[in-house]
Amino acid sequence: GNGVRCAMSLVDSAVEKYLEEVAGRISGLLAIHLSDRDGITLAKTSSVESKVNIPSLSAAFASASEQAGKLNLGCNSHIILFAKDLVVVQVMHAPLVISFVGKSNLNIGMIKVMIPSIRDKLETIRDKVESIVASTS
Amino acid sequence: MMETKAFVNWQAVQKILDKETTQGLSATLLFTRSGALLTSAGEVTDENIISALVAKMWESYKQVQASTNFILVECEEGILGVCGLGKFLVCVYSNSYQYPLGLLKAKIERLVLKLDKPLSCC
Repeated sequence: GNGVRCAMSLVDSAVEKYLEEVAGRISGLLAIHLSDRDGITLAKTSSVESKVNIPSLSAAFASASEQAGKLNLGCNSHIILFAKDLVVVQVMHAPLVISFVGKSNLNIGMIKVMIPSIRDKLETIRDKVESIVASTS
Repeated sequence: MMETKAFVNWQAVQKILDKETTQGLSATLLFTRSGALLTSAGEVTDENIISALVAKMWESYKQVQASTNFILVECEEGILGVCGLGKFLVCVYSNSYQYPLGLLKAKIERLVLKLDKPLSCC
């Protein structure tokens, strides 16, 4: 809990700046959130207030992604949720959950193209979260 | 004459599922929101497990985002789409991960439109 948040604040601004830059390149995007498997937000782009409960969605995704691995279709890579006036693309980058929240016209294809480079960029934050989780457990 | 409107024309439903499970798609499943399988089409294995897992996934997302109307699940070896239709869930998947996501979504939406009438009495 607190230990994670303190360490995260050191990398927060750099990560959030990067996420803002990525967000600017994707049409229809409202926000990018980075959280852990329980839905605790670690970093996010500044966004217009939305009626989406992203922490709960992230937790739902973490569990859904694991279940999806049992569908005889191999490991899960993405889950895309369509709701009224809303699209959410979620990707696992264990132990991080990356959520892209957008309007109905969200450019999903663009998000998929950008995911590999986003994963690379997030390697440092991922290692940090993993080491904190390991030291507190 | 006996009123038949209260009954689902399962023959028509099966015919639609069989017809719409076209090349590239592995199977189509129709099940209740609680995961009980009603019928399926295509080459399906472990259909009861799949319907149970997908129904659970749908429910957990619905609890967070009530207006959820479609979920696409992309995996390393295949893709799956699920859409709500009244009391039911319609799920279609392909064992080819290269099957276009947009096409899968469009096919499911078309399937749901076709199933609306025969299932509308439920």
